[in-house]
Order: sequence, then C-alpha cells, then structure tokens
Amino acid sequence: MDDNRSKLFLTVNAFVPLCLGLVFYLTCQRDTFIRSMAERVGFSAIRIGYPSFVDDHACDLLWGYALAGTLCLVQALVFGTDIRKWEGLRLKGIVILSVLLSAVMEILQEIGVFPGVFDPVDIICETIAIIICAMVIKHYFGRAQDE
Amino acid sequence: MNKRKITATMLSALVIASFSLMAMASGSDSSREQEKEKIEVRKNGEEVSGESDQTEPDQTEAKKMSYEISDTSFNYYTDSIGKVEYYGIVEITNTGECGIFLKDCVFDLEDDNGHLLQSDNIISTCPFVIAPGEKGYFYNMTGFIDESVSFDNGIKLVPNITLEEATGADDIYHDYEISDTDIREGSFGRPKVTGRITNDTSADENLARIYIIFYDADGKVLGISATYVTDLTAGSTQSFESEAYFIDDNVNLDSIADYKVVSRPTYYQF
Repeated sequence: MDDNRSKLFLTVNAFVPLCLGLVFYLTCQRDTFIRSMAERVGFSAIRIGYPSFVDDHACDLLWGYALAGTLCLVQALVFGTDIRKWEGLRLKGIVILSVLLSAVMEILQEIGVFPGVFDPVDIICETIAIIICAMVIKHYFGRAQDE
Repeated sequence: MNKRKITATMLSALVIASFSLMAMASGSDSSREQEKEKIEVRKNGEEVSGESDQTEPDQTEAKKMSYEISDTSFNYYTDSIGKVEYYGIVEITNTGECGIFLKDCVFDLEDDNGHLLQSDNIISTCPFVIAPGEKGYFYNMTGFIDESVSFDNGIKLVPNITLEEATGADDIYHDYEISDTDIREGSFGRPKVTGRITNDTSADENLARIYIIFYDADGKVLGISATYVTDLTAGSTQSFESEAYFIDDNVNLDSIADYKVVSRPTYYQF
C-alpha cells in the first residue's frame, strides 16, 4: 500500500477526533475553557443541548481515540507505516500507555492536582476508545499488508 | 538508543504532554455538575481558607436551564453567651434561558477531611424564583453550631442545592412595588429598613415576604433580612420594617453601600 496514503489515513485518524472534540467544546451547553478562549477573539458558536451521555462522555471517547491515534501517527512518521517494524512503542504498547495515562489523569483529578471530577466511567470510555483506535489501525494495516 | 528511537520517544512524550494539558484545560471548566460545593470560610471576619468550585451549569434534556454559583460566604463566631453562631449565603445567578425555582438547600458543615459535623436543612430562600439574568439566594443568617462540634479539623460550609426549571407563568417574576424606603440605626444597634409595599397586581396575597439584601461597596452581599406582611389585597399598600442581619458581626450601618428590597408573589411548585 502506498506509504503516503497510510500516513494520510493515520493523520486523519488522529486529527478528526480532535476536531470533533473541539467542535463539541465550542457548541456544548456548558461554559468551557475553549469557548471562553474563542469568545475572547470574537468567535461565538451556537449552544447545542446534546444528550446527557454525549455531553458527559463524548469528549472522553474522542480524547482516548485521538491519543492512541496520535501516538500511532508518531510511530509511523518515524519508523514507517509497517507496524511490524515499529520500535519501542508498538500497537499493544500504545494501548497500554494510553490507558495508563487516562487512569493517571483521573487519579490526579481525584487528588486535586488537576481540576475536574473523578469519574471511573471516564477511564472506561477512554479505554474503549483507545482499543477501538488500535483495532481500526490494526485492521487497516492488516488489510494493507494483504494488498 | 538509535536516533529514530530517540525522536520517536521525544515526539511521543510531546504528544502525551499535549494531551495531558488538553485534559487539564477541559477539566477546569467542563467538570460535571458537583453535588456539593466547598465555599469560603471566614472566622470572626478573617478569611481562614478558601476553596470555591463553581458548580457547572445544570441542564436537562431539551431545556436550557443554566446557573452559576456566583458568590458564597460563610462565617462563624462565638457570641456573648458562648454559643457559636454562623451565617451562610449562597448566591445563584440564572445564566440560562428559563426561570429557576430555588427549591431546596441543605447546609452541611464539614471539616477539612469532608467529615460531616452538622447538617442544617432550615435554609431560607430569596426569592423563590429567578428569571434569566437575576440572582437568588439560599441563606441562613441565624444558624447555630452545636456545642459538641469539634473545630479541630477546621470547618466549612458545603451547600447542597436543589434547583428546578420554573414552570409558572411570567407573573411569578413580578416584584411588588416598594416605596418610601429608609435605612437607619435600629434599637438594638442593628440597621433597620423601613418602607411600604403595594400589591400592584389583581390577585390578593395572603403572605407577602419582603427581603432586604445589603451590599458593601464592592457589591458583595453583606447580609439578607426578611419580614412579611399579611393580607396584602390587590391594590393595597402596607408598611414594613426589618432589622438587618449580616455575614460579619463587625458590619454596621456605615458598611452598607447599598441595599435592595425584593418582594414577589408567593410561589411553589411540586
């Protein structure tokens, strides 16, 4: 498979969830840091009343997915798009590292180092998203290697 | 470690740091609604510790109710007969698009470890409903802390508030006409407010609650006092007076930069 096409896929895979997260924070009902920053530069967006599950966990899912996707993109940019040739962090390592990071962030919120509310459901959502991202990449590159 | 590995490690570290910052930034505003809020504690007028988290705007499906805890105050002191009294005020600002019914509030007194010391569920409301852009208050200006409560681990007020979207018609936000108000020194050394209330609606009011909110020069609420008149029939005028209660025992007439008298028709919803 074309190397550039693979890198494009990984780029899209990493940045689309980030963009979706950005749009969500700009348009959700509550006041967010991103919205306040945008309004400071004169940008204002409509407020949308998302369903409560989306409002509570969409960003966690997108964050987890984007984290795993971005780490995969980094590996691809440095080592190439054959995931079997990635050194250091392979797909499994990326999943483990991402899940650990999400757990650490929640714990830091719980002990008050970071602002926010500790919610174990956040860790679950992020883990699910990370695993989905890894599966998507594995499926894509597995198919790519078969071509 | 070869060069590529180093590059990959550094880039990965950068990604992790960026995502951590992202999580921090989103946590600072997008923390989900907290059931409790820790508020400022002052002892005898001096600030002891402060931790104030704004509760996130509440939202219900297909409704745009939104509020902000815009100010909170808590103070306690030992009175002349050795009893520990406390004052607490929680200011709610309606930042949404519909009215808010201030349904209920419980003031929990907790120590620094979150251990419950005392719970007070007789908390006053002023007024019962607030329109978008308006402020309302849960308050207790005459609270007592039990003698057996220990202050060894600190004490703070944690309000548990219950708000609902107001479902009444627009006239629930109408303020009765207040006139001829005056403030002076009362007989017990507390400032006293006098005035007249006119029922300028077409409905009789059996019990009209009148609240007086006192502000300092910075616009911060110093205290809230309340009185009432009964049988305020449509079109009638009655007089009232009320002594002031303040968040700080050192407050006097000179401390009051402004005051506001609020009186609305009685409103409840179930």
